[in-house]
Amino acid sequence: MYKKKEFDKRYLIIIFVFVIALLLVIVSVALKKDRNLNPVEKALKDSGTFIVNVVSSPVNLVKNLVKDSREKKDLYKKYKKLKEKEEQIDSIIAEIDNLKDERDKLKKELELNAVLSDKVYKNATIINRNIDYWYDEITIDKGSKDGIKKNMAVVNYDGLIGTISKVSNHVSTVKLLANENMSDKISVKIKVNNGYVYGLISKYESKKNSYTVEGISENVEISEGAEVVTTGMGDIYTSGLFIGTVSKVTTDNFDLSKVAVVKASVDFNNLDYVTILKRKDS
Amino acid sequence: MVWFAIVISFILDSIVSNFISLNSLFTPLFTLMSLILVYPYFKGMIEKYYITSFVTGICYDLIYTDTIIIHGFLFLFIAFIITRLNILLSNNFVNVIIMAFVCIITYRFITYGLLLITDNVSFHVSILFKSIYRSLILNLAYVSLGCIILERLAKKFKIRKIN
Repeated sequence: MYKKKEFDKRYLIIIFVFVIALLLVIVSVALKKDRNLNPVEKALKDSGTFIVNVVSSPVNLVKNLVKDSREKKDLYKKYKKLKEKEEQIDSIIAEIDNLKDERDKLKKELELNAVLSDKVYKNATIINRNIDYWYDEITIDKGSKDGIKKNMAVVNYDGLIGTISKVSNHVSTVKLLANENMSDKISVKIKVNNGYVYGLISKYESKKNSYTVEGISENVEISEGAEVVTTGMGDIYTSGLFIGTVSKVTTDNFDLSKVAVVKASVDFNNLDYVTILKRKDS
Repeated sequence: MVWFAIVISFILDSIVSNFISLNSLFTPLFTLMSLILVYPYFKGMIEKYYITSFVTGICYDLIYTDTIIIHGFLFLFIAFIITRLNILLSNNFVNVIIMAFVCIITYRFITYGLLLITDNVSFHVSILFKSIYRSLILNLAYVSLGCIILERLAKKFKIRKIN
């Protein structure tokens, strides 16, 4: 007589373990930071972002109108400030031209094809933002078709804002520096009397909109308000990208090095247009 | 009406993100909230509800987070929790808010756990609690408002729902 075979519970455990392992593999692949988008993802992201952008364009239009009208109120103040700056511009331009000329001559003499501050620009508009706690990112309207590549530095008129983390055909994702989960340390230099002192940005604090710079040499005097810029070390950032100004200087727990709190120059709540920088290939 | 609610929430997620300041007390999770709002309108079609949740999660991944299928499974799991909660609780205004509360906490815990397992986050567990309370105010308000609006629309167009 036919006897119904009972399902072996051991198989169930094996299947369960296999499913868990498979899920963990999927999760780790999907959450990998340096993962590239596949062609299907790129196509769907491009078209999806386009639709969301079109639908939300009336709201963005109203937002821009409100912003414009607010800015108009401060127009006279801005005009006065610009007038003051205008008087200094001619001398600054002359100085820059002179420095450029000197730099080109030195480059020729030293047979250098590129220096750390050499960069090419690409402007872009922010079309979307995800302010979810873990994914603090913005989406811009330029992609691989416009020459954008992963890890390019992104700035606005106030200073450095982040790097390109994912690239699609027509849009790209920018990972902002304003992220409390800062895993990549950025090499920076702080202006002091006799030149620069070096350190690493280790943390961002959203409440104060400030960075913490660690690993600064103990025997250097840093004044409040000193400018902080990138050093150009590493593959991502060119040198001289403005980060902010020093607001407080302390020492670390072991009194071995100084720690500076740097007020970010960028207002991360007010981002509209950005510039993508590409280091000139040597 | 179901797709209308989901699509509106999906687009609102993007629009509101552009207006709300970074790390403020109002982090939008409207797409997730729409899963609670639309559940009563899947009367006798639970499989369809799960498929809708999964597809919504995939779209969320593609447009907002670039984490392929993670939100697909996450939204599917949240949808499962919503169906379980709906068995325990009757579908009324207060219970919808309780469900939203449970869903936000579950969503945040799972996301944090996944990022922790895959070594993607290095921050303290207090950040997890910060992320939870920062998501509560706006989303609970949205789910309450959405509940009232959908109720009225359902009455107007005579759409049956699970009570």
